[in-house]
Amino acid sequence: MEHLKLDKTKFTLAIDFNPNGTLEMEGSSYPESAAEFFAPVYDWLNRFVSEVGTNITLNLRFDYLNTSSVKCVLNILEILESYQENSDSKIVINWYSEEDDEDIFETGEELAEDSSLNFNFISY
Amino acid sequence: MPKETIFNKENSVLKSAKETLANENLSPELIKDELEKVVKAFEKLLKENEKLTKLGDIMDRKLFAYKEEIETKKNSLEEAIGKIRQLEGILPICASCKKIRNEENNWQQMEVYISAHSEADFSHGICPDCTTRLYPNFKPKK
Repeated sequence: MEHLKLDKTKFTLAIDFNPNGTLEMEGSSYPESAAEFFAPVYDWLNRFVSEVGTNITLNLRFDYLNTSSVKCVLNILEILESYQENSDSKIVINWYSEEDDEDIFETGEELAEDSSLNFNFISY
Repeated sequence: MPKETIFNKENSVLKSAKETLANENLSPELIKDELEKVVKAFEKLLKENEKLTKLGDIMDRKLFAYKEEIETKKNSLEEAIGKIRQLEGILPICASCKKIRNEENNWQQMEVYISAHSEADFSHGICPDCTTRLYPNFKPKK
């Protein structure tokens, strides 16, 4: 399976999804169309969970997400939750936030609250 | 190809419910089955909507903090530029005592004027030429 790499722009995240199971998203996200930006990400992830099926570490290092992007992140977490329920693979979410960035930390806490996924909170 | 939306999954539940409604041979089992799917999707949507609203508020707060930070930086930058501008141009200075005439037409010591119009402070000492002139018998240690 191919490596999915999208460079960070002013409006979109850097995406680095490695078929070895290390997936990374980083930056700020307020694209004109979140649906269009995240479509190849969903596509890759859906193929990954059905074709590769290994443990996943998702590293998330966000600065800012608009509401549409938060919904897309929720959709990604839903794909992973469903994968976790239907496989023996282990999924870890590493949620990074800057030491003084309470908003990003709180966003992670909110996302983790109703999720069955294992969140690690890492400040830097 | 249908247009991508961030609600693809929810749209597919709605589409299926509409198709069921349009079915002329609607059985009670089919209605119940479809209704269960709609209720489940609605519950999920409601929960997600609540979460998105909360997270939207958090991000709004972050954006507001950014705006405030930019405003503070802009103000201090403007203040600094103002001080730099005050030191630009021609300063009227006394040819003898080196006092500077300020905006109120008062003559101020050069150190006082520059300190008031810039971020610079002064620390006083005596240069070698003045030391020789003022203290001719002083021999500095080598």
